[in-house]
Amino acid sequence: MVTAPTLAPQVLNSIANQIAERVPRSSELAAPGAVAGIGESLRVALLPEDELTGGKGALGDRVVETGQWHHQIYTGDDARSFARSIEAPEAPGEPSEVVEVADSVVAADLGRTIRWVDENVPQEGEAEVLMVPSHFTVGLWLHGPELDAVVVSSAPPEMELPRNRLIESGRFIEMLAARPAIEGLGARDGSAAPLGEGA
Amino acid sequence: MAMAIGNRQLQPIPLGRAQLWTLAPPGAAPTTYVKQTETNWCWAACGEMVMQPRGIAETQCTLASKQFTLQCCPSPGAPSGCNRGCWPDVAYPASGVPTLRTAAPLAQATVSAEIAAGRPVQVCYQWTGSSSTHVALIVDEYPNGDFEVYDPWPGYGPGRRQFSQIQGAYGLGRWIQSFTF
Repeated sequence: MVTAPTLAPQVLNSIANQIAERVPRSSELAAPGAVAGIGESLRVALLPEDELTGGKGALGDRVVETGQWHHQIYTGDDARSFARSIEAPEAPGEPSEVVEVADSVVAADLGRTIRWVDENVPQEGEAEVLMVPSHFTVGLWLHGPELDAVVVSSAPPEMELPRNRLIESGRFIEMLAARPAIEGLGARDGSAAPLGEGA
Repeated sequence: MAMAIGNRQLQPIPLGRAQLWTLAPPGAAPTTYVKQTETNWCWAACGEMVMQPRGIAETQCTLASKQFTLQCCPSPGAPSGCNRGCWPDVAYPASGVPTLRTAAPLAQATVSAEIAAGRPVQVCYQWTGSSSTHVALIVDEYPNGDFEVYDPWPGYGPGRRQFSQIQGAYGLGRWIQSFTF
């Protein structure tokens, strides 16, 4: 079974209180009488583009641990919001300070992926949220003694990644590296280097 | 005993205690969140969010149509030549929005001053280990110093964020350039 870290009740209570203080005014969470709770809390890992296309080794050798935690926020059975928190430098390993509360489809997408993994992946392992911002791709990275795989929860159609299917990590890297990154603003004035020195 | 990832034992959030009033000037036209409909249209979706409160009837696809001299509406479904990046200070002035580019992040006090004057601030992120860039719009500020950020990438969306979270591109990179209006 794939698991998520278990947080101490006082840690969860602190995160819940901080989320309550940081509800955005435009959020459904701000509606009078709204009821919500924190569901899963997962570490957030980043796969940089240069590690995706030019890195070596397993996915675990290529990702960067961001030190941030993702918290699913549920209203009833639906996750429409999430929070992110950071670890305290003096107490690494658990979330400490909420830095963001957002309404995003990523919460619902990850909720579906979590359910899929729980129902379909029997191997032992731990789940982390995997962000590949250069390719607008989000998923769960599952790693354990006999498990190293990614389950994609959201990605643009042009990435041609199946959602909610177990993809061995090496294959995931191969598939995503074959797709060009989303350039965003692109090169300025036809320059090959879009942002200049040091950017 | 180990538990699956899915956690149905929710930790209740004591909602109703957040300060929801903001520091935007009274009477300022609110910004409506717009999600980008093409992967390279963060600039266009932000452009629509900047222009609509000013009464300028541009949308992300009309901005792209104008910039690339193509018919980019409707989107999704635009021709592939439409899904391209563009710099806000290059694209927006043609629609009546003078745009100043600063090749650096702005200080928090500067952002606060822009918000207090009723003007959003557009931030340009660069992802760690990548030359890819992405823009999002700071549209408001809360009394505790948090900012309301409308990120057109639906993976982030509209949210309330600490300034440090904006500076660090949500832990995924850094804020490298700025656009003011």
